Amino acid sequence: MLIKCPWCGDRALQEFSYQGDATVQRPAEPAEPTDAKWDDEWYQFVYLRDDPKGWHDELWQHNLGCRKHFKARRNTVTHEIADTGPMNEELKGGDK
Amino acid sequence: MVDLTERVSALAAIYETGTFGATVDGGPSVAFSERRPLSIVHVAGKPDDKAFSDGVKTACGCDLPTTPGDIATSGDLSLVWLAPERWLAVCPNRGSGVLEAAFRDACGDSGAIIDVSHGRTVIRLSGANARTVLMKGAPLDFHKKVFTPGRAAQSAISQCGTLITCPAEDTFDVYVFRAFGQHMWEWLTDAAGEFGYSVETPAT
Ligand SMILES: [Zn+2]
Repeated sequence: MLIKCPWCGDRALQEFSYQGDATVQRPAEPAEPTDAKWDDEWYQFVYLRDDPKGWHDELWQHNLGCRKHFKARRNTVTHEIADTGPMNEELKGGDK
Repeated sequence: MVDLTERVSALAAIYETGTFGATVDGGPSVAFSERRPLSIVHVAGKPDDKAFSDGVKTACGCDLPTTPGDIATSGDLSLVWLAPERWLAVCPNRGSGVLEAAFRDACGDSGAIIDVSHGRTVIRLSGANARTVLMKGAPLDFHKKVFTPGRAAQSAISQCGTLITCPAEDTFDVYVFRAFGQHMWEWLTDAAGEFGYSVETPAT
């Protein structure tokens, strides 16, 4: 299986490592640090992940190549990768 | 008194010149040597920061290669693209800290400069089957029209992170962390056994 590093191009899967869900958002700071709602948001941010069937935006790292982190839109059923790109760019393709 | 500043090759205990492996018509088709002593400096900075790119040019005489996998050269020095903001400068040993100081003086605060000369083992393979030996180890495209002189790639051989460069036709340099030097030497020479190989005197 080949993954396209946004910089190095198509490389073998064994050069990469999966780094998690690219869709989770860090919760905004609350006015009061004791805010119970914030506790719950942090719990979700740190521990809870969806397990989608189909297209999913993920973080990957080209750890045995250029070591850069990047985003990949991967189909969790077929393993097809529709797009990869730098962290600050929107991914295209898939049915999203 | 032991001189702790003396450079000792990581391969010193196992390095033996001569001809090894299978006996084949036409003789060995892979030649190994350790490249040493070298000055190796890791250079990091923003390529669009003029203070940094000008500093690099002043320090080593060549422009930053910004195409992934490209190598720029200036005299006996190579500047290898490692990542969008990281390069490796390599040349025959210029003396302790000399190349690092040249980069630090020229780049100032615009770059992060680290001397890694003592931290790398560099193994050179050349000859008709050098490419074939590497193809056994790294999952890269080693086609003659793709991995050409002046190109480099980081990958893994036998689970060890490596930088592989192609300085000339059918000539490749394999860079590994010093601690993996012996393992990589043994892995590569073992892989070359079927072709017959020679081990030459270390050179830069
Ligand atoms: Zn890469």
